[in-house]
Amino acid sequence: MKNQTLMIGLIIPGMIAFTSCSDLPQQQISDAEAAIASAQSAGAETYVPEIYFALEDSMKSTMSTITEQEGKFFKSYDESIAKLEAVKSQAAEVAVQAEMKKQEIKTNISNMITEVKSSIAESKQLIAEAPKGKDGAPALLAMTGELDALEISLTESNTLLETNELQASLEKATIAKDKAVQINTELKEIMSNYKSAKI
Amino acid sequence: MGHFIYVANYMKKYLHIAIIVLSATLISGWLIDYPMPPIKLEKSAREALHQAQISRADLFANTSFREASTLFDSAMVQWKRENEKFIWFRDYATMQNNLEQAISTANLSHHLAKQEKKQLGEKYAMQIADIKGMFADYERYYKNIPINQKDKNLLALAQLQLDECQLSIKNKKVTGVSEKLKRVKASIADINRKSEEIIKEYFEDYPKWEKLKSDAIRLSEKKKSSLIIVDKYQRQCLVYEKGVFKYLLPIELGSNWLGDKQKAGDKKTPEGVYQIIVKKEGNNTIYHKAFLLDYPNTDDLKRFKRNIIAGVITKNSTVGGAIEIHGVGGKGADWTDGCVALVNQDMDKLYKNMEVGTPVVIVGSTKPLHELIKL
Repeated sequence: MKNQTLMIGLIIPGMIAFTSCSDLPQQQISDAEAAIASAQSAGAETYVPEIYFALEDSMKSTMSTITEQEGKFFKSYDESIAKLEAVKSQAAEVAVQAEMKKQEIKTNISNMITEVKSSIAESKQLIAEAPKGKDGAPALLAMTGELDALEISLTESNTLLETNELQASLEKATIAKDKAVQINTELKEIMSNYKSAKI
Repeated sequence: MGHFIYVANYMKKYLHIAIIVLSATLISGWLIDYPMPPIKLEKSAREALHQAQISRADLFANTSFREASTLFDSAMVQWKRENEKFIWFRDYATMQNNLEQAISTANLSHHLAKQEKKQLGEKYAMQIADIKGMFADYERYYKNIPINQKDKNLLALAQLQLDECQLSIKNKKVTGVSEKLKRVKASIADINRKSEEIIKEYFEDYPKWEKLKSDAIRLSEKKKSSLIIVDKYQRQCLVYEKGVFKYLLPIELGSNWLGDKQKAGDKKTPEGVYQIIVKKEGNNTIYHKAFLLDYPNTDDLKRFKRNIIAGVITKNSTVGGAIEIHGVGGKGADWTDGCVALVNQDMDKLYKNMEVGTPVVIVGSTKPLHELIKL
């Protein structure tokens, strides 16, 4: 009897001590924070802002559950650990999405720069082929200012691409492409007018 | 094991007391209310911050958003502090207060961000409309004024940058747009200002042009004859019969049309009183049909000599000639070496009605500047 009381007296406090001393999952917290930092470094806040903010919100929510557990006598971080693992995976996915988005934009920009360069070259060729002398093509020559401006804009877009300012680079390249097409169309029309006027 | 039982036996007299105290603590913990952290409030605060972030309050209402974030972080710090205390001595009042303020401030920042975006949108729309107005002024009043290549490039670049700003606004990426719009506005304002200065200086000759025109119309009325007046600024050929205006025809000029012709090759259309001396058609011209004018006249020759002496033009310059009114126009730009070009159809009409000897008066403008440009 006395031994049984002794055992119960030892076991119950022992169990209490064991369950109320669950360790804060510091490693998992650090891992999740590091994963979020990686997503941020990958430019997630700029290129995939909605899912990045959702990720930050998930982490805040998880930290709240941990803080809640910290205040309890019988702490259990099992749920929090599972959430931290989920946040870590989510962060990895967000980083991947950000990189994919960046790559997509870079490819888009590179293609547009190539197209614009080709369009400018074609426009310059049209101007070069224009009749010289009094029958020369001032209307065509007037476009050289616009072509020069396009080249400047293209150079700026390329510089922004190299410094990873992708959004600004994309906008410059987009506008340059639209303008290049417009100039090219106008030049062809002017050349056509020249030919029909000569007839 | 024996040692363990020895220790246990030593403590066993206290063991029953310990069990009773521990059990009492646990039971009282179930039965008695102890302070609870405001978890639902914390969740609401997080959600309010998240909403504010989605609306980009961090960009558009930065002050209040940061304040809300700070209040939330403070609440979390207080929560951790209270957790360190024994459960019955915890006090979450300050944490609750901070969370309530965080919610109201986050909601405010969300509202302010929406307002700011709307106001920014309106502000940008006004700025862009203002700049487009300046570009429109350039197109309307100054497009034909010969400007240097540097300014032409600047103008083209400004137009591109304006389009970029509009695209940025459309994509809701407004960082740097304000500064860019300022630069665009400064560029077009500078070009318009320079063009206005050029045109004002040119129009100082208006009294002379007005007299040339009036005299020519009076003479046309007196002699009951035809008259052609070329208005360079408005790119018009005005036809009079017996002093009465009949019709006008659009024209194209030399690419450097502004000002009176100084010498051969300067691509200026001369100004003054001339007449048709030869009518050309068929194999006699490559420009469909043409009127050869008697440029240089006496005034042109006197001016030419004066300019040589004054060093305005080089001694080996020639005064030029072969200034015509001819067809093959409609190229959409000033392209001649100084001649006046019309589309073939219009040249046919003129050719049919005008004879050798018809006066041709070429002036900078038949209207004063204030009637042409809103200054």
